[in-house]
Amino acid sequence: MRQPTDKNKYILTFLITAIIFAGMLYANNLLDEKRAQDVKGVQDQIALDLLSSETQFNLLKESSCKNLNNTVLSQEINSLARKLSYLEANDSGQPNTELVYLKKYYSLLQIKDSILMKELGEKCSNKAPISIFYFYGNKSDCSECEKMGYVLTYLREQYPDLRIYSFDTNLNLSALETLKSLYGVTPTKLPAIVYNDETHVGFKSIEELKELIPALKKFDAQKEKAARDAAKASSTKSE
Amino acid sequence: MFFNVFVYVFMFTILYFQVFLILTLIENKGFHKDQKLREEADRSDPSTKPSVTIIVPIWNEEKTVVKTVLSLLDLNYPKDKLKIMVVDDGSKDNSWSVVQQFKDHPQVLLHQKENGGKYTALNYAIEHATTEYIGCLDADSFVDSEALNHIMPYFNEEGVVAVTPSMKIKNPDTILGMVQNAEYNMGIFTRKMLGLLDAQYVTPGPFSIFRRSIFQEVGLYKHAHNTEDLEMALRIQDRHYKIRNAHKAVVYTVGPRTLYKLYKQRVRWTGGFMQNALDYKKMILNPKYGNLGLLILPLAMYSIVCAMTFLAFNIYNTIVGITNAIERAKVVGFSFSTDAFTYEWILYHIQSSLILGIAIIGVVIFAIMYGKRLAGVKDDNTFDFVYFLLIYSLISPLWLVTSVWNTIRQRDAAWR
Repeated sequence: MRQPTDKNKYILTFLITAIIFAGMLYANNLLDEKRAQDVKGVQDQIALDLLSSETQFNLLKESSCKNLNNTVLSQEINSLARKLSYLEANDSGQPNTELVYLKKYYSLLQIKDSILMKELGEKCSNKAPISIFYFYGNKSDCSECEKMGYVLTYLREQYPDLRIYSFDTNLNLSALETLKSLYGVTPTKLPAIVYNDETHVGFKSIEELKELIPALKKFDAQKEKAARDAAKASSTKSE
Repeated sequence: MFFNVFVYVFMFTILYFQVFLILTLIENKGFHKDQKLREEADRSDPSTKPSVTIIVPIWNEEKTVVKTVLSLLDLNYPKDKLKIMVVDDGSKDNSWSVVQQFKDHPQVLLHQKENGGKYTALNYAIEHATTEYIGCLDADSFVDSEALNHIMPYFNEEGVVAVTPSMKIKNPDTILGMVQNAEYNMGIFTRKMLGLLDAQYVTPGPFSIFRRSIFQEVGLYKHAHNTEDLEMALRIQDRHYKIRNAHKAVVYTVGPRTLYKLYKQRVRWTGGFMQNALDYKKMILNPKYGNLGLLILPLAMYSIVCAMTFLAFNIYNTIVGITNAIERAKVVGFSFSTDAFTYEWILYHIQSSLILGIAIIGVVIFAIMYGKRLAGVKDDNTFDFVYFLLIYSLISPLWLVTSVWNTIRQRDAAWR
């Protein structure tokens, strides 16, 4: 009397559900690819900027610093850092070769950029941005890296002129290994911050970093002065 | 990783259920016409209409009971074939004196008994009724005047012993009302499909109509963990009788107006469902019970378990999130990231589960819209599904946790 169960219907339902599901997963993959492409696009832009800066630098080596246009220095490094950290945050934990590749490329670009900036600094001291190196590890080998990351993200937002080169020490990249050995960074000495060729190990608060990097205080003073001037300008206007 | 797999399996199952219902709809696409023909045949000779008693069990319902009785008296049905039996289950308020205004009405019978719970009031009425059919209408519900005419033709089919109505929310003018409105509209669709599948597991208190002989056959109502209407449906299913749904028979019910009252109601429903399903666990995954045993009951139990796990993960993630925010605040103070909703931000923040959710949101909206259409009455709350999607998943964990906890505790106590 009861309506019998229809096996075919159960199977058909399964197939339809599977097709919808596959479609959704496919859309999801497309989005993943789109993200990777976006990051890759930024990286290519940086590579191009770097090459262009390098070339310009070589061309002008003999002439004065005045001719070196500041805008050619790639400003994309910070935005790339942000995009990569989004990707890392949304990463589901499975080994993601695409992300590893992007991070390796990013590390190389950073190293190249830092070398160029250093050369620039030696020749034209007022043109080079303030830069620091930051070495971090994952949660298991560096418990304080997360905290340190918050501080540096904050600094990045507060001081757009500060250049922070950050390196995941677990990336298997020979250039990065060389950089690590240059500054004496080992897995037990994390997080590590390098400023002016000096390595500082362990978590540093904002205040401590300001002590280490006096230039930051200068930025603060400039900002305050600008704010005061703006306030003065508006008050004189209202009078 | 584990969580991702879990979410995918959970979402797949929900989608499977909804696709199954939509396939059922396609399979039975003639059911509208079917019913119209039956009703026409039925309407041709009013003298053949069977006699019906509607029980109105009341317990401290002085405010709504008169309106409930009036809506029943307004039913378009031969007066000599319709009796209304008000049973006062020992009310402490003025319910009894309020219903005295119907004392001399030829269709209304008034009974008073000692308080014993709703199911005792129902049994009392069933024992005193003499009509061929019997139904119940809670004192917080009101019927559409054509409801009974829509229901009765379904009994012409052999083996049908109970017919359920479509339930709607009376005046959903609050946010909570809107949420329930959408939920009930979805329920109209689901109930109709379950009816077609021989898989209804509840004959709702408001205006389910029974062949009176079924109570002689399967027995009277039981306490059944305060959900006697659920247990009765399962008992009928256990005997392999048919329960049909009359989607055009509309009953309006007053939904709980505060979150606390809604919570209390849902704790009773969810807990009652789990307890009764466990009492009838022989049905679960038993092919003898058709779609009900193989799909509907297991899926309903499974979804409760899933929702609980989901909730646990959500709580865990929230705690992790808050801890991180505190850690962050400790080192850099309370500052908010200056990210705006740019294309870039959206591109990087859409998570995979959200994309998968789109399909489910799609079928849920379809079910709500279709349910609205099925009942065929005016419903201006076009965007109730928005409230439902936004709010339901936030508030349902409240009663889920309590009901699961209660069930475990009571099962535990029963075994000792």
